[in-house]
Amino acid sequence: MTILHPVDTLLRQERMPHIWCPGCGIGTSVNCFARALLQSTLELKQVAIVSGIGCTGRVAGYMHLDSFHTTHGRAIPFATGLKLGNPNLKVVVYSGDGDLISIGGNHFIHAARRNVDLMVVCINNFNYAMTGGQAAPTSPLTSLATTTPYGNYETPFNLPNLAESSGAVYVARWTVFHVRQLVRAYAEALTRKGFVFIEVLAPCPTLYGRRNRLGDAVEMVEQYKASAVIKNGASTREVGLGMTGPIVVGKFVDQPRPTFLEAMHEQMRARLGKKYVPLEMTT
Amino acid sequence: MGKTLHVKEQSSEKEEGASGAPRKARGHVEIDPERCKGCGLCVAFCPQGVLEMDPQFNKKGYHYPVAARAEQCVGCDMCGHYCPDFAIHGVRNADKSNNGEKKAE
Amino acid sequence: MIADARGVLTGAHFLSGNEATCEGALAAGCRFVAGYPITPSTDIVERIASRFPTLGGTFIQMEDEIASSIAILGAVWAGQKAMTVTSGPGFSLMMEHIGLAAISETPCVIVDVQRGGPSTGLPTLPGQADLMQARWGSHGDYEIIALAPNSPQESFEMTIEAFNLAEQWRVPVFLMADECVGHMVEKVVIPPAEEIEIYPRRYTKQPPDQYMPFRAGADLVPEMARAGQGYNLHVTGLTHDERGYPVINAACQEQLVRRLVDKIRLHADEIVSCEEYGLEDCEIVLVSFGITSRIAFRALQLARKEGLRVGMLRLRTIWPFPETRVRELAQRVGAFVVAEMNLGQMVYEVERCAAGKARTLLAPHAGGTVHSPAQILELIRKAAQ
Repeated sequence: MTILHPVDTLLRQERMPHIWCPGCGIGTSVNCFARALLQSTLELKQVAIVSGIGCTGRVAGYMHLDSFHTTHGRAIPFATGLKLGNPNLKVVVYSGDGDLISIGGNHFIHAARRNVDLMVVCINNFNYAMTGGQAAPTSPLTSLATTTPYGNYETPFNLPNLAESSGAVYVARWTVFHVRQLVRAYAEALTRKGFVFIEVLAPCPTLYGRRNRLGDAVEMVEQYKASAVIKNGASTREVGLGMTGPIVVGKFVDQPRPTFLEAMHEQMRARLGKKYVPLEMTT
Repeated sequence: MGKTLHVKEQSSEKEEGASGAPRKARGHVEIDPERCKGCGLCVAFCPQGVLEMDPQFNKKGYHYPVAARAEQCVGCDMCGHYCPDFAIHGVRNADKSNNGEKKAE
Repeated sequence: MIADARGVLTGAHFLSGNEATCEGALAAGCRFVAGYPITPSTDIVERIASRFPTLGGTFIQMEDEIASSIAILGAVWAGQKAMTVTSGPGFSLMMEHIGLAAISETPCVIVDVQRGGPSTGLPTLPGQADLMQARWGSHGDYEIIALAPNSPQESFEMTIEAFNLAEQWRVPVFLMADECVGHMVEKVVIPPAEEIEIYPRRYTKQPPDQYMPFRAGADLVPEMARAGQGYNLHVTGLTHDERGYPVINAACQEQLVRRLVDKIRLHADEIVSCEEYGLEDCEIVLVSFGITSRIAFRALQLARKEGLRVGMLRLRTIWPFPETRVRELAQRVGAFVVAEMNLGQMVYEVERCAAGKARTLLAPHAGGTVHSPAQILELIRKAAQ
């Protein structure tokens, strides 16, 4: 008898088990995301998921949706083309901190600036896990990684702040301890138009956790629980992360503005009137 | 009536509660031990302390959870939310719709 | 199928090569362009930006060429015909995504209006030194198709050909123009839409439970699909099987990459297109393409006046290289003279195919302006000695 998990229909069963390590937060985040999708009123046929490269980049390959595993850092521009090519699609970018913010940083800020209608999920495990645990632009000060064997001395990005400053209309952060809130955040984000950003703190017990002696997955998630402070509406300037100190979670920004396509349509109609013809499906 | 689908046969009904009357669990867990990678998140974050890791191993050499205190289960499905490997989930016994999931055949 | 008349600017016009490229894309049914400003290609997207909104197209100026080259792939998988436009430095930035287009078999058109290089080079002056890069620029084994227009008229026609070839073979197709052809203004005759043949996207008719996105037919090309139809596509840059799922081993690599390469190599004779002049009884073959071919033809005329028996092989497709024709010619001619606006790129292909049966001489040019006919004539004379 096969035991079905509630989200099994959204997973490519023929590709299970996935490659993520025991206790990897990516798996938990996908679990919550799939639940939010199933709860939503979205037609799943119209949902497309785009990933970059890395451990989180593998998410696209495991989800039973139209899924695209693109190049390192470039999920967002691919997703932009996908969305603009067929505006009826609901496009979700699901990738890791290194992929989205380091090599993908430029694309991230521009898509946010333009307010392209994309839901961007950043699973932040504070390192480049797939390649063995190198430092990332999110790695906290003093943390150890293979490329910072004596401790990181680069100030990391504060992702919610970066997203908000760039123009994101919805910004939230949760950890994989906060499974219920995460499902609700995903569900809410799926209903928002424009550039939506959710940062999810996830344990990497095999690499970041082990190198920084943070314990196993349970201990790392217990630490999220102990350090997390829920502050909905907090100023994103004040939610930076360190090796110690509070982890501020919650919904920080939820302020709509015209999306790229809405702004484009409005401008074109204003200038061209009836002569304006929005994109049609041509193949 | 909810059917318990553990690999290890375990009754969801306790003989007696604290008051001496028989108690039936409000929920139960469904576990696929072969999917499990032994991370222990379900055990740690079950609000009811239902689960423990089985001393046995699955085919890949991981310990998997088992409902050691099945009568405590309320079917909240926190385990099902945490599991990175989709190996476990909780089911409310009283509510047949059970979060919209399809029950196994 | 025939072109959508709304995108066809039927009539006789004076257009630059770049403007004609835009019109060719519109006639071909391209309705998504992502680009980034770079001289001497920018006028293509400027015209696109102005023409698209009344034709149902979307243009987006992306933040860089890396973004442009992958945004077009996303648009293709959404169901659009898509193109990007660039020159040398931007072309270099696009290389990773050319590989992605190749392995994911995403039909698209990339226009490189070549300029002097390397690096920033000569932004406003022509070059023809990107051809090897078009062929080999991305890492790994793959094959592409590249066309080289030598006039604004050809820029119009070849852009349509490029889209058609992309759909037929599911490869990225390059239009290797240059600043001269891009900016020169000549008469361009655009026919009525009914006279323009469009190769339709090879969408599958199979239902989702039977369709395999990367299972190829007899011509080694799989049927296409797009997002939003319930196919639950998986498209990845990793080596993958017929389902599109990553399989990281040598056997899958052999199966996939061999097919990607054979797809073009085994059909090269169908794809190759050359213009020939006077090859029936010549002793010397002048090989050239793009703007250089126009000067080369003048040199040929001058050479014939001197009694030299020279014919011309003008490459319309520069990739795949016309191996069969060159090998054939090598059997009976004495020499090839290759005229190209670089210090030696196409000449290596000619020499390879000549295989020692005929001499191969190069009339090079570092770029910045076109050859003079005299420069090429000198080499033809040398070949005749």
